[in-house]
Amino acid sequence: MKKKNGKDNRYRSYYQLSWDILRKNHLAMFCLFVILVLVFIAVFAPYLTPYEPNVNKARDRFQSPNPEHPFGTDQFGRDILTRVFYGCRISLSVGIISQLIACFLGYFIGVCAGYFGGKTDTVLSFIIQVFSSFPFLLFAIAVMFILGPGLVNLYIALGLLGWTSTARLIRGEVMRLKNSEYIQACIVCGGSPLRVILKHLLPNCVPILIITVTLGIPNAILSEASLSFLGLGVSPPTASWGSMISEAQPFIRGYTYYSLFPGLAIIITVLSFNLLGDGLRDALDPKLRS
Amino acid sequence: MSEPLLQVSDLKKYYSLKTGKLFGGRTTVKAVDGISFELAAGQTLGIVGESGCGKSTLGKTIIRLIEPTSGRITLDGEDFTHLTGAELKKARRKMKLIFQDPFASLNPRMTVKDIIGENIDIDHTYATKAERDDRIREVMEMSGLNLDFMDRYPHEFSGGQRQRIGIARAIVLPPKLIICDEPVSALDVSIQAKIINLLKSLQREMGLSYIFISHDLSVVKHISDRVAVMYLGHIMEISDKASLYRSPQNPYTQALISAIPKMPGEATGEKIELAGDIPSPADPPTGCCFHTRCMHAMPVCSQEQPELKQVGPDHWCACHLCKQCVSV
Amino acid sequence: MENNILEVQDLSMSFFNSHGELPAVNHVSFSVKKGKTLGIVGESGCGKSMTSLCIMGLFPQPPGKIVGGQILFQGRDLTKLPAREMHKIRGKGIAMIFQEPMTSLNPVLTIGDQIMETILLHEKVTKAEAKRRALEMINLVGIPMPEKIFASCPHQLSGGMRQRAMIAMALSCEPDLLICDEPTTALDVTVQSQILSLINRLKNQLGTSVMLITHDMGVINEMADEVIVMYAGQVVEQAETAELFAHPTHPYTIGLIRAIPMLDTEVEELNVIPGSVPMLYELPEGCLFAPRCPYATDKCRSHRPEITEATPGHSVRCFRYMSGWEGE
Repeated sequence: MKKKNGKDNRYRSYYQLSWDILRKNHLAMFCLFVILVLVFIAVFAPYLTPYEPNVNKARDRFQSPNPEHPFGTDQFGRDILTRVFYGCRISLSVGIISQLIACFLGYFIGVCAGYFGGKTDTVLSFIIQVFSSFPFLLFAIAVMFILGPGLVNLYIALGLLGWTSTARLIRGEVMRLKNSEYIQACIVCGGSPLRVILKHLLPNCVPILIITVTLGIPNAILSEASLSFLGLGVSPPTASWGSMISEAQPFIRGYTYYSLFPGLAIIITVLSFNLLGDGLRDALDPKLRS
Repeated sequence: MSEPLLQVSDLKKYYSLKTGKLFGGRTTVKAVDGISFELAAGQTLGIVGESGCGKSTLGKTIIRLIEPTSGRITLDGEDFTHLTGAELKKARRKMKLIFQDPFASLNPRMTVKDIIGENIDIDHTYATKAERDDRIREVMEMSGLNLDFMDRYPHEFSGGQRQRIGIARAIVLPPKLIICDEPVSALDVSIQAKIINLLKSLQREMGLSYIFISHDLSVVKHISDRVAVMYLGHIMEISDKASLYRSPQNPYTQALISAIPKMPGEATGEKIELAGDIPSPADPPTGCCFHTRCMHAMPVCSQEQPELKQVGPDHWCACHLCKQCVSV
Repeated sequence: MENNILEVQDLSMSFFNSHGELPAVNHVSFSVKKGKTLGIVGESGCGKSMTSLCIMGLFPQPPGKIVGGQILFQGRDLTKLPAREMHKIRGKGIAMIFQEPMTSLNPVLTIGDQIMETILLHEKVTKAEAKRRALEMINLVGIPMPEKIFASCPHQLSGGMRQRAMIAMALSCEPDLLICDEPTTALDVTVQSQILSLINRLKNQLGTSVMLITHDMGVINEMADEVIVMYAGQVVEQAETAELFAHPTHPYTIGLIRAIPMLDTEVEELNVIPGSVPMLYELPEGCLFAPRCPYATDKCRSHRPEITEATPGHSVRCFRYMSGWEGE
C-alpha cells in the first residue's frame, strides 16, 4: 500500500487520502462544481432573476428565448428560466432530504439487523425484503395518495422508498465488521453496543453512506419528476422540473422550449450526481486503493 | 503455591452446526472440551496446538468474548463465569486480549491516541483529558512507540508498530492478565523478537500474567513458564516447560517437537512424521482424539478417552501409555 | 555451465509510479544447479517473491518492469521471450506452487480437471491418457484414494491436501524447475514436515531442481543445498547451507539467525536488529543495511558495497569483507 501511495500519504487520514484521489478525477471534480453551482442557484434563486415564478402575465405568453427571457415563457407568461431556478430548489431539496431520511433509516435498520443478528435480523431482513419488493412508482403513488400531495409528504414518500438498498449494504458491511478484532477489543474492555455502533461501526460505514446518498439523489430527483408529472408531487403552481414537463406536454409540438429546459436541467443534475457518485466510490473504496 | 490468579475448570465450548445434508439436522462441534488449568500471578502459560485445536476459542472463552457452554472460570478468587453488567465490566478490567492480526485489530478510522485511550473513555478512569493523554503518552513510551504517532491513523504503521499499539491498548489500564492470541505469528522474525522482548519486559515491570497462545513451539518455549499442548479441544499434556521440552510424554507432543524444522545446533532427534491430517472437530475420533494418527495406538485408545495424569512433579499427560510411565 | 538449469544474472526489476523508480529487485544474480535445492530467505518486502515472479514473467506489469539483467533458463533468456513461448515454459519447464493453495486453485473445478488441464495444455495426449497421468500424480504426492480426490473440489480438502494437489498439478508435466513460494507457511507444523519431505522425495525421484522461497531459517537448513539471503531487493549473502549457518558473515544474516528463539538454548532476551526494513522509496544512499548495522562506518553510509567472495563459495555484500576495509 505504502509502496504505491508514497511517503506523503503516510501522514494523512483516510478522508484526506480519498480527497487526494478524488481531486485527480477531473470529471468527478467538474460534476462537483456543477452541483455546487446548482446548490448556489437553489439557495439564491430569488436574487438571480427579476421575475416572480408564479405570477401570470398573459401578455408575455409563449415567447421564444430572447434577451429578456433567455429560456422563453410558458402558457401563462411566466419566465421559464425563473421557474427552472425555483424548480432546482424543489428538486435538490427533494433529492437531498429524502436521501438523508433514507440514509438514516437504512443505517439504523441495517446496523440493528447486522449487529444483533438472530431474530432481530430475521425480522428486519423480512421488512427490508417486503419494502424492496413493492414496485417503486406504485408504492410512491400509494404513499402520496394517502399523505396527499405536498413537499414534506414527497420527502417522506421518497425517503421511505430509498432506504432498503442502504440497509442491505450496511447490514452486509456490519456483519463483516462486527467480528473484526477491534470491535472485540472494544467489547472486551466493556464497551456497550451503542458505543460499538456509533464509535466503531458508523465511521467505517460512512463511505458506504456517502456513496449511497450520492447515487440515491438522482433517483429521488427522477422519482420526484415522475410523481410531479403524474400530478402527485408538489401542488401547482409551485414550479418543479417534473411538473413543468407535465404542463408542457400539450404544447410539445408547437412550443418545444417549455419542456426542453426543465428536461435538460434534470439530465444535467442527475448525470452530475451519478458521475460524482462513481468518482466517490473509486476514491473511498479501500480495496481499489491498495 | 498461593491462590492462583486464574483457575479454569472443566471449561467447555460446544457449537451447534448445521450439517450439509438436506435433512441432516445438526452436529455438535466440541471446540473446547473440558479444559482445566491454573495460572499463578506473574507467570506465563503457553498454549500450543495446530489450527483447529481450539486454542483461540479457549482464549476467547476465558475472557468471555465467547460464552462458555459449561465450566468455571475463577479470576482472582472471584467466579468470572456468571458475572453480568457492571460487575463483568469491572472484572474484565483485570483481563485483556492481544490479537493475532495487527492489521485487523485496529479501527482504521481512529487515531492511535483514541485507539489506546478507548479503554479509559469507557471506564472514565481519568477526570480530565490532560490526565488521559498523559497516561496514553506513558504507555506509548512503555510500548516503544514514538510519541509523534499519537494523532496518526493505523494504516501508516508497519505490522510490528501496530502490534505495539495493540499492546499499549491492553496495558493502558494496568491489567493482571493478558491473553495473547498468536501475537507474533503475522510478523517477521526480527520484528517478532522485538515484540517478544517487549512482552517480557512489560511482564517484569508490571507483574503481568500471560496466556500465550501460539502454534510456534520455539516461541512458546522462550516466553512461557508452563506449557499446555492442545489437540482437538483437549489438553494432551501440560507441564513446566523444561520438563515438557526435555521429556515430552505424549506421542503428539513428541511428534510436534520433532516436526519443527531445526536450526543447526539444535538436537535433531528422529523425525516422527505423522500420517494424515487433523480430523475435523465436527467429527472427532472416539476415545483418545489422537489415536488415528498415533504411532503407538493400542486397542484401548479408540475406546476410552485418557484422563490427564500426573507423570512428574509439575507434569500432567493425557495418554494411555503414560499409566505405564508412572508405574515404572 | 552445463550444470546450471537456471541462471539469473544481474537481474533488476523496478516499479514505476509517482515516486519514480522503486527498485524491487536490485542487481540479483544466482543460479540453480541441476537436481539441487536453492533456498532464498529474507523477511517480507525483501524481494524474494518478486524475484520468482520475474522468473515466471508474472510480476505486475505495469507498474513493474525489468530494467536490466538476464534470466537464463536452459540457455534461453526468459526476459526476451515472447508471450507465446513463455506460456510453453510455464508449467512444462518451470512450475510454481504458492503459499495459499486455496487461492491458487480454481474453486469451481475439480482437482482432477485442473491437473488434466495442465497436462492437456502442454502435451499432445488424449483425455484418457491425461486422466491416467493425473491419477498417477495424485498417487505420487501421497494422497490416499486418488479417485476420490480427483473428483473433489478444492474446498472439500484440508490445507495439507490442497497443497499436495497443488504440487501434483505443478509436477504433472515433469518440469525441470519447481519454484516453491512459501509452500508451508500456511500449514501446521506436522503437515509442514509432511509437505517438505514430499518435496524432497519428489526432487530425488524426478530429478527436479527446486527453488525454495521462505522466511523460515529452519526450513532452509533442512531443505536447501545452497542459500541466498535477500534484503531490500538485494542479495546480501550467498553460500552453501552448512557454510552459511556455520559462518554467517553479513551482519543482517547474523542478526536474523540470532533473532530466532531456539529450542535447545535458553536466553532471557532475544537478539534484535534495530530499526526496520526501509521502504523502497526511502532507500538509504549507501549500503542498504547501514542504518541498522552495528558495524556501519561512514563509508558504509555513503557507498554501496558490491557482492564479493569472502571465502571460496561464500559471497557477501559487505565492506568488511572487501579489500581495503579500515574498520575494527
